[in-house]
Amino acid sequence: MRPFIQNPTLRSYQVHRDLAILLVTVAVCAVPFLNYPFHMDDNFYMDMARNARVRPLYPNDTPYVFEGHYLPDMGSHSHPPFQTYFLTLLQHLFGEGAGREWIYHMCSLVFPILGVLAFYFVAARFLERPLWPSMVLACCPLFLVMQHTLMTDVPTLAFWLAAIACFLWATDRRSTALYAASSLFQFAAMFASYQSIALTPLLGAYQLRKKAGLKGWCFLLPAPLAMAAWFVMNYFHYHRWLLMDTMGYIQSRHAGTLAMLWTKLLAILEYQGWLVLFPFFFLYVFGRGLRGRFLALAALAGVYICQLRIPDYRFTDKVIFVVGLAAGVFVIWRMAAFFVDSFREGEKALGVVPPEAQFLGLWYFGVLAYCVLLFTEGSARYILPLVPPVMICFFRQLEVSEVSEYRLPSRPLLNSAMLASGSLVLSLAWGMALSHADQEFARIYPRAAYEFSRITNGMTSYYVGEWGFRYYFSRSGARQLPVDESRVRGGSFLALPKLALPYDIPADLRTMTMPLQALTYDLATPLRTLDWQTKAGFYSTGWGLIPFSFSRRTLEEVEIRQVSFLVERLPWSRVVSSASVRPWPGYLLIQEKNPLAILAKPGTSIIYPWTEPEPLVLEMACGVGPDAYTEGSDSTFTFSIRELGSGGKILSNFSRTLKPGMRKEDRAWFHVRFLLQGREQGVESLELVYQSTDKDSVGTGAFAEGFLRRPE
Amino acid sequence: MKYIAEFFMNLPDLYKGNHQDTKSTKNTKRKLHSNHSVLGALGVLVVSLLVLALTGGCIAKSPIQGKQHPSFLDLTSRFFAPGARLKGSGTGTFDPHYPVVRKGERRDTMLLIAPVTAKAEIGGIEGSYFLEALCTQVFNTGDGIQMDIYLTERGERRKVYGRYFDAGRRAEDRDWVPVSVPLILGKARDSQVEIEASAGPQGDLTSDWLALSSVRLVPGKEAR
Repeated sequence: MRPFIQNPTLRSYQVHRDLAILLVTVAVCAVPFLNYPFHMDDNFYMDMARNARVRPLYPNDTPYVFEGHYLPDMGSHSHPPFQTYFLTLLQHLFGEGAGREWIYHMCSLVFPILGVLAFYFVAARFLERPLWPSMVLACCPLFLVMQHTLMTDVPTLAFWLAAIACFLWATDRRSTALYAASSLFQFAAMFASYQSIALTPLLGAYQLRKKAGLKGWCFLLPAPLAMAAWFVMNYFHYHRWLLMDTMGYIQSRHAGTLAMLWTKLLAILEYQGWLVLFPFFFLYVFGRGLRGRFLALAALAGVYICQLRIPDYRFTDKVIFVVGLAAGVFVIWRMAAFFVDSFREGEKALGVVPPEAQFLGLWYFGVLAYCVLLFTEGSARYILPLVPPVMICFFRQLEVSEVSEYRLPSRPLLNSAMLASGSLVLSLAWGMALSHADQEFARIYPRAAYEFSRITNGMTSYYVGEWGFRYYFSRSGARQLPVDESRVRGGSFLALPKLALPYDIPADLRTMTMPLQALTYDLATPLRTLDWQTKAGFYSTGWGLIPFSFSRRTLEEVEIRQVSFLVERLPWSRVVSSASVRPWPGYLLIQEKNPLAILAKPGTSIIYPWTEPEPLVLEMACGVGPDAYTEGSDSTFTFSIRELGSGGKILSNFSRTLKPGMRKEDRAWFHVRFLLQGREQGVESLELVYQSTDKDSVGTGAFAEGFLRRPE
Repeated sequence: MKYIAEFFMNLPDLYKGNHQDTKSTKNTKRKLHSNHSVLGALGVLVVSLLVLALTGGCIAKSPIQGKQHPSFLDLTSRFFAPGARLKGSGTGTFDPHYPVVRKGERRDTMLLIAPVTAKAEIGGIEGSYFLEALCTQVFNTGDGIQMDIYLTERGERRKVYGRYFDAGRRAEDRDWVPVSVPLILGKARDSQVEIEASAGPQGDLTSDWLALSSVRLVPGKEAR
């Protein structure tokens, strides 16, 4: 084993071969997932990219409603607009539309490729065989899942790694071109994610420890200066410092409370335990000290924390939690030991010289610190930048073990070579399984949007959710529920998901809606990356503390409701009534059913102005309340539905007379399906009439439901 | 921690290097020193710019700085409803903080689910005032809800205001309805405002949720 006190060298033929292998690996891993629907926050960047074509300098300057909250602009969004510009370019070149996702994913492959190739050069500074960790990064479950989205995480990691690779090699070779390239990548990383500002102190510390001279410092300045200039430019446009509102948002989510910090720390341990490599390898390589006692101790602590923190989780979820926690703790423990060793005189952490080992330690713990302290919640994607130092440390450990294994009389079964290749194969399989599960999850929303559009059939419709749900429902013609809910007219459809960040519909509007249908979506795979029932929280700790779970239950349910035309339009209707009580919206219990209805007293006529241009089908249930009759009474109650033309001329009429006192079947709801012509056919109003032969009757009659649909 | 602390304490030494200086290296170091001064200055500039970028927002007028001293008495926290359930969704419930949205405007409200009466002590206040609030019926269903406001002074209870909210049938009630009730207060110790929510004329309590926001006493002309 080379002790790494000399400068590493790369042979060009070896580099070319390795890079080709890596390129093929990334491409092969990506091909099955090119048709990934737009997922999670992809939708936000696509929206901003559309706006960037109108306002190229300030792409986030557009009013936006997120989770039901209106924001006058998105300038203070948690990410600067690198990814937005990238998507703007793609939108400009290829347009948007059904079946074009693969173009976006294919073009976005440039980031995982850059990331993996750059990591090869970073790893070459620390390892004898940089190909292995680079391949494992390409197959890393977290990296695999995230590379199929359009969010900023993989681009940030790619630029981060490219900036570091260039800087490390530039320091070694005193190469101005590499320094300049690093500077450019630093800026790209910062322009993709604010947290990449951490690159400046990280590379600065390396520069300081390597005593590399003035040139390196000069190339550390342009990126933060450019970001500062960008902030100043935006200040003059938005009249505020963008990050102030961003920080206000973070504070509003109570990101700094002790409970939240603890949650985030646990989540990071879980994510790095399960999603960097298949956890067995961390447990075996990092946790086999003290003849397995260390492992037993970690498992015990895991069980204790599990019972303390998540006693309500299912047994399988608890097992996932404990395994992830133990693996995560070993990772952090090993990284800490590595970091501490790098400061000890005369000791070299895993044979890596102190400045480089300290650099890796600072990298890992710096990212860990900002993930815990700065972010609003835990999310697997946030920890992507800490994957590379962990991989380097893991493979360095294997290289060290390999040397000691040669001295043994017989090599163990699980030797270093076996562990290296095993980690690659199992992590790839695990990553593919997770990616497949996530892809299935993402595919729900295009399907749901299609089914919803078939139900609404061109009628006004709204959606109340985010992520891919928002993107695909929007593309199918539905609109986001307006902030001013009073603008929603009767007859409009609403789609409410269970999982895709549904937000509260104001109570006044909700009371006027009627449930129409529920679309449910099950996955073929039992693996879940996000689940509201089984606490899988790959994308956010808001759902749970484990990065995945197993379930056979329905993953998503989209509830479809319709705003009752009869109730919403009642204030604008004309009422002619001999009764003292005007009709009112409410509920009438008949045979254990009490749907939303217009309730009226006998002798009431309600005339609704009709504005629909095209024919619609009215599906209604009518019924007489139990207060209207007594057993054996011969009072009759008549319900009429009429279409009126100009001058009140009756164009069509439906009537039904009930004798609930005499006929038992008349005590139930009766259903009406009535074709209403549009204004183009001369219809000006819709009249509902409720009459009784008993002039003294005060019995309540109900015009319930009143669904409106386009005729098939 | 010890090692980390040592690392940072030793940084200057590490940067200088531990070897003996020769003449040539001294010259080089002098050059480097001047270069380092420039670097230091640039570093300070960058740090200042970043600090300015991150904290500059403090210069902007904050909403709190811009807020004027209130010239009204906020009654929101004074209301209580003896005998009523706190929170929940059943009849006879009083919730001092319940968010309600009307026409896109979300407000923190005092929620009264009929039949219920909420009271606020306003003893010791004298002069001409207006009891102001923004009120709304929470739902657009039901036969409406009756709101009555009573003023009790020196044991005498009198109705000072009444309004029927009927969001199901009246378009104007599907909004925040400003209510302003003139009150002449006689500095009585037992002065009390009562807001009573009750069923509409049909006696139906379904959906009878009344929300009041920004309930306050504003001085009338004379008092001002």
